[in-house]
Amino acid sequence: MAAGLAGAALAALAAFGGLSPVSPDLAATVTSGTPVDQGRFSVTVLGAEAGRDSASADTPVLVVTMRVTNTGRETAPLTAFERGVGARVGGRWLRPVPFGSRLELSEGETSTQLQPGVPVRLTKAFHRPEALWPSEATVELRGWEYDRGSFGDVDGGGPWSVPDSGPPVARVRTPVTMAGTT
Amino acid sequence: MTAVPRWARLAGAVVLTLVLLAAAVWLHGRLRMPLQRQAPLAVRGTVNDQLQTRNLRFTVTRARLVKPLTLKTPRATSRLETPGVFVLVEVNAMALSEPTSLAAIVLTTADGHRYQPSDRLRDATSARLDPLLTTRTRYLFEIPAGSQAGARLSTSAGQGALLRAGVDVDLELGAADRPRPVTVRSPR
Repeated sequence: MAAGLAGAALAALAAFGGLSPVSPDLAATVTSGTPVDQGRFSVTVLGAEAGRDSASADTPVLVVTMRVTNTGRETAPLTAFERGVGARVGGRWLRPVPFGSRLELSEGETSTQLQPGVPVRLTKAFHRPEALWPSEATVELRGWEYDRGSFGDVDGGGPWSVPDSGPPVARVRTPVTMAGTT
Repeated sequence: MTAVPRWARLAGAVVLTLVLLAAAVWLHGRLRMPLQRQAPLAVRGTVNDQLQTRNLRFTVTRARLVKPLTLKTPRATSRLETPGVFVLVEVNAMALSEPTSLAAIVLTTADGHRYQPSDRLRDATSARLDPLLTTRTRYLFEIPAGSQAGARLSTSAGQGALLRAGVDVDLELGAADRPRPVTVRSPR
C-alpha cells in the first residue's frame, strides 16, 4: 500500500516535471570598471576606499564609489538604489551605514534622486570592522524586477522590487585603497 | 423553441465568466504604468495658456533649457552642473475655492520617461495654494541632453484620485533648442 502511494507520488512528480532543481548560481564575477545591468540601474563600480567617517565619530568604514545610471522610466530615490547593493570582504558581509549613500555633486550640494538616463557618481558607505584593512572587496549587485500589476510599496520602490532570494546579477571584485579619513 | 438544458446554461455562464475575467486581466496589463492608471483626467494646454480645473488655475509662464544653473542663496553661490540638461519651468498657480497644494508634479518626455522635480533646487518642492491668491513658483528638472522635444509638465491639485483635477502642459521645447546659463536666487 505504502509502496503503491509512493509510486503514484513519484509518477505524479515525473508527469509534472519533477521537483524544481536548486537554481544554479549564475552570477558573473567581474572586476571593477565593468558596467553591470541590474534591470533598473546600470552600475559601474569604480573603486573602494577603507577609511574613517570623519562626520560620524571616526567610525571605520569602507566606501564604494560607483557610476550609476537609472535605466528605468521614472525618477528613483537614492534609498531604492541602496537596496540592491551589498559588500563583502572575504566571506564576511559588511553592514551598510544607514543613509550612507551620497551623490558626488559640486561643493555644498546634495540630492537624493536618480533621474532616468542621467549618469551620476555616488558613494555608498559600509561599516568596517576596526582591524580589517582589506586589499580587495566584493560588491554584490542584485537584480531588480518590475511588476506591472503591482500598485507598489510605500518605500519608493513602486512596482519595482529586489528579490531577496537567488544569486545576485553580478559580483564585482574591486581593489581597496587606504585613506586617512573620508 | 427547444429549451436549453440546465447544464448548458451553467456551462455557458462559466465560459462567459472566464472570458470576461481574461479580458479584464488582458486590459489591465495593456494599461500603462500604475501612476498613469490612477492619474486624474487632465486639462491640456501649452505655455502661457491659463488652464482651469475645478479648484485650480494654472499657467506655465516660461520653460527653458538651462546649463549650468547658478544658484544664489543668502549663504552661498553654487554652480549646478549636469551631464544632461536642466529644464527650468516657471509657474503661476491659484486655488479657486479652497486651499490646496500642487501634487504629483512630473515632467514627461516624448519617449515616456517621467521626471520628478530635482531636489537640487530646494525652494520648489511644495507650493501651498490659497484661494484667489496667485502663487509664483518654479520647478527644476534634470533630463538627458537632447530629450527635451515634446516634453510636458503635468500636475494635479486636490485630495483623492477621483476628486483630483489635473493639468498637462506642452512646454514647447524643440530638439534644436540649446541650453543657456541662468542664475536664480533662492531663499534657501
